[in-house]
Amino acid sequence: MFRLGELMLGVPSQNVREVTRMGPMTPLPRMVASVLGVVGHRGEVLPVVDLLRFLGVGELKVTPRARIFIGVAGNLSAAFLADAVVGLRKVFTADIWPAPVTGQVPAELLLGIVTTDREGEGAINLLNLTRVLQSARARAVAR
Amino acid sequence: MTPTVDILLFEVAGVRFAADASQVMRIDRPLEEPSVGAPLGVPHHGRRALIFYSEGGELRRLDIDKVSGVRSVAIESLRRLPPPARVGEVPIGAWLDGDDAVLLVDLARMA
Repeated sequence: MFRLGELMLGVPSQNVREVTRMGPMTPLPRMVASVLGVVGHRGEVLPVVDLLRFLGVGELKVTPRARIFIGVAGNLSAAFLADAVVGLRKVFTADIWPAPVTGQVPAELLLGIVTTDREGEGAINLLNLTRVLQSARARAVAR
Repeated sequence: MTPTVDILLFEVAGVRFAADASQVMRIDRPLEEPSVGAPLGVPHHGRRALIFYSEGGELRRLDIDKVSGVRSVAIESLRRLPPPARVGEVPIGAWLDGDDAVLLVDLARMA
């Protein structure tokens, strides 16, 4: 689970390779706004995605406290910027509700919504990272 | 023995780029040759220019801020750009200088 602005988001743990600090980022010329640049990480070049811009609900500021999580789906991978990584939660599939079509996050990018009793967490938007990565790729190619 | 390639490092608008050094005919002031514009961003002052041949065989220039030097780097330190970061044809990859990714550009395709 991680926090982006006022959004609480979750990603299935099998889609997360690593959580780390933000390293030196290289901006990309003429790139879609949601891809901030690339970083070198363990011998790999990864695009850095601002999910708030990608979802069209704001933008993140890159601060020294910013964290990235390395998301993977099939042969696609990217570094996603986060304000804070909250931690790992076990969620029962029976507790995942269908994504509302009128929510802040487009329903087609979600696996569903999970509500928790923990204070300050509220509803967690569970991201479909495969679709997010495929969509990010399609947007970059279409530009 | 690891194969190497010579890359020319330069800066545009505070961002470091690299190009295959064999593509660069000369480094000059931005004077006569037709410019390719600012595909890598608008230079802060643009007092230097890389002169190169386009794919069509014509001399072109790219205005830049600074030449940082030529490095002989191992081919295995070069990477393709990952799909969500691959846009257009100019940045063709990156040279990993430690964890610092320096964008590798194809000058000939800029024209």
